[in-house]
Amino acid sequence: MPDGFAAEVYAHRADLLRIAWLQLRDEHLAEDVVQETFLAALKSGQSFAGRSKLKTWLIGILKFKIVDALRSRARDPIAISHMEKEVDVQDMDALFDEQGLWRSRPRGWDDPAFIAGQQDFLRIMDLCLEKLPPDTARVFILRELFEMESEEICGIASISPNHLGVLLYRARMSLRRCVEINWLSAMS
Amino acid sequence: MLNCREASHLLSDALDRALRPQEHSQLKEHLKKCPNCKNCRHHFLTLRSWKTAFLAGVNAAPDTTP
Repeated sequence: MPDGFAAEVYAHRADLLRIAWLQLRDEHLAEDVVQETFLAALKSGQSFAGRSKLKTWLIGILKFKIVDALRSRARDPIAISHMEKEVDVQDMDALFDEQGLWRSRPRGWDDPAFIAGQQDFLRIMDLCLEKLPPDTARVFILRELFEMESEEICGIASISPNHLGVLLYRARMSLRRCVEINWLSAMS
Repeated sequence: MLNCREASHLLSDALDRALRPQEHSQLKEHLKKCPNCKNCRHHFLTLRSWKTAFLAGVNAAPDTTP
């Protein structure tokens, strides 16, 4: 194993911890799954050419640790009643008028500026993910970062495909708006 | 004829499941005429690009590679 491997792995600690916390909403549990991820990674001693490949691999391990933690918690009835509240989309309907037209129109986002500002984008996304209701953020990350199929997410979260669709819709609509507001203020 | 609220739901659904042929054609028709929903679609796709940006980036931890 190269000497620097542990250091390379630990360089991703903050990002992994952040995702684990957004999933589990418990600092100790988040620390535990990240620690387990690092132990598994160091034990395998694989080497990676690029940093993003290493991070992708680490996120893959973290995903399994998180899914295990979520599964063991799925029997908690509080978690489910909590999620029912988030499935209500009335606040999303308020974004449209009686004819179903946008009240506040989505603006065009400037691609080149967007690419130039990846670091800003990551910072804004982090901020906006934290503002989402917990289960809404959770399913968004399961779907978009871990690329899990809807069926699998429904199984873990004990929700119907319809509820999942509503949660993901809420996540995207809220994030879209939040990114737009923060992005525009960051550029000015 | 879809309104924007309905179109926005389909734009999100399309990222998670295959739309039915009728949904697909209705959405396509709507997008032809609606720049707002086109922007919305672009925003949803930008949100999807978060994964790539996240995996390529390091935030809090300093980069120690030379």
